Amino acid sequence: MLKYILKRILLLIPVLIGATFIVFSVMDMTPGDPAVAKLGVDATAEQIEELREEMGLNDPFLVRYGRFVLNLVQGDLGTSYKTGLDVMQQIMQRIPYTFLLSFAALLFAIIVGIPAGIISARHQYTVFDNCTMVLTLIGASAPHFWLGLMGVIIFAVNLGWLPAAYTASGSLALGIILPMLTLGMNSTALVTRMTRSAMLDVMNQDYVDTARAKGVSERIVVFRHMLRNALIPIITVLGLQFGNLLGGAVTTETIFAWPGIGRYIVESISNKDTPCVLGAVVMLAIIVTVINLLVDIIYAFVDPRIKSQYKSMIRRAKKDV
Amino acid sequence: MDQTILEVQDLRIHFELREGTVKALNGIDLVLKEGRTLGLVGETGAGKTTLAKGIMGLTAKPYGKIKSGKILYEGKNLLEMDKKQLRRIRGEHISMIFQDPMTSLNPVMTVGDQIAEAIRNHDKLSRVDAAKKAAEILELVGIPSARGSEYPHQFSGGMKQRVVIAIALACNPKILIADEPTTALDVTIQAQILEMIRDLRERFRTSMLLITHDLGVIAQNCDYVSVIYAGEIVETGTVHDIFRHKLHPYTAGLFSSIPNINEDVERLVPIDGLMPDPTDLPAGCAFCDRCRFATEQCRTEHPHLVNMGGEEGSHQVRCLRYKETREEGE
Repeated sequence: MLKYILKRILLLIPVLIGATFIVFSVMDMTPGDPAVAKLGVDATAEQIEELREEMGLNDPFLVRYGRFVLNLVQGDLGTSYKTGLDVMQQIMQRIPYTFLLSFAALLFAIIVGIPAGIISARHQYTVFDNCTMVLTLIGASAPHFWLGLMGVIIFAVNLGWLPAAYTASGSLALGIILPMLTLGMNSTALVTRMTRSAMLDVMNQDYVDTARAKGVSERIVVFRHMLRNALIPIITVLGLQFGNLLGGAVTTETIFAWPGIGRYIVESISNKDTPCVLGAVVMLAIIVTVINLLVDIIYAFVDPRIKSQYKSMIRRAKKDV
Repeated sequence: MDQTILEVQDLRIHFELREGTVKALNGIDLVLKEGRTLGLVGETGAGKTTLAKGIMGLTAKPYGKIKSGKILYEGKNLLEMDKKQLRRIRGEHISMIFQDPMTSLNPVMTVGDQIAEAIRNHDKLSRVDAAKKAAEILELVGIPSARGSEYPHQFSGGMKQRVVIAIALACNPKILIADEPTTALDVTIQAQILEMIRDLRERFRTSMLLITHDLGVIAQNCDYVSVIYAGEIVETGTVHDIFRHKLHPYTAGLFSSIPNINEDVERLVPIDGLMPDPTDLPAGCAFCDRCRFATEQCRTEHPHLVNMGGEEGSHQVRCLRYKETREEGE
């Protein structure tokens, strides 16, 4: 198991190189000069040239990228072009907010999506099921920015129940509700649909009849025999959704002024603050990879067949060594 | 005479699909006597599994509909019981062995837990005591109790069927319904499993409804036989009645389509044609299109079960022309 985990963590290296290379290139190709951004439009050409030289902006592309990678290997994400603050420190300040928002959205998806999916599957083609299917179709298709704006218009502007944006002085519990719903809507819809179809698959399995033939109650049939078997595809979706949630955090955090890493990326991009963007991307890539790894480990606990597959994989690997 | 423990009267189960109504069971009558084994024989699609599941109250929802009939267990109609009463009957009084051991065990629970679940459901036992009893039952079906902590995928097909049997017998039921318990298994394992079922059944005095399409299995294990065709019982009687004095042309066809070790036959005689479409059953005898005795009357008049006496006076046949077939049979 440990060897497997190690292998998966090593896979992170090509992922990081690929992701940073793409972001680095894109940032390089977009118009705008970080030196100008830092000095302001009033600066003279000499001042700008001097700063460019100092920041190493005049070096060839690959040299600059190589320098970034070397620093990254040493755990140094550099400093912001604009503010001169340490990127790592800034990210660490913002990550808890992004985690809080993503986990809240995920939790919402689980608490609403799984029961809704179970009920839908148990009452297939009834009014409840049909309504759920239509609602989830809308929920899965509606983009974050639209949902967010609608939420603000209805609940903040018209009804005045919830704050339209996060403020440091406001209540965190109230402030998180709209961003959580906005960010979690897609995931909730997908989790509902996946739970429903996984339950429908499992419902007609012979072992469900075996369980009923034992005379156990319907509650046990549903949870112990059906849901545990339906859980694998549900967990897969949840794991993938977590990556999506981090991506969705970019728009959602911007709409609601949520002080997380998504908004940080948006701000850094408009400032052409390459080190900050790269730092945030590296951090997100690491988080997504670790989450995917965790999902794979959870599989083994949910489904014993997968555990023995892992074991035989490791046995084979040992033989090869 | 033995007491009747389970009686099915005029059971009709239809599946109402968008494409039409599948008439799976059309007035089934069955009698199972205490401590005895009744064999139910018929080809694929005749309604054998529908009947077994119907007795267990497992008719597939939402399409399966019980149109009429009674299922009397010790005189009480199972179809009129509420869910709670039915749950108490299932597993404790009537239990079932399913056809395919590969799919009838829950893949994410240890086999020990699956057996213990059946026990704990009916006996008020602690977790530890139930596990202990589950281990005993595993030994009883020939599996080392240490393997109780393993998962179904770690067992072979034959071993899995032993586990399924262990679950079915865990609460010492009065009736065991075995739905083709050996069809999915290797021939060498089939004999072992059947012998085990026979031993355990005799030990616990369990009555059994054995569903199969294998006449050899019937001959070895059953006291009575009912032949089912297109959702109807076409012939029923003691094993002796059916094997020696078969009357229905369909029963005769079943026998001539298997090899007989005492006769030197070059070719087997299959029954020509297919079973009628269960969404569109003929008005007359369901077998008439495949029957060489069929007359015009057979096509229009639906035959009833006729008592022919036989060994215990219970030999019945559903055929208009049983007189002619009897002459030919003897």
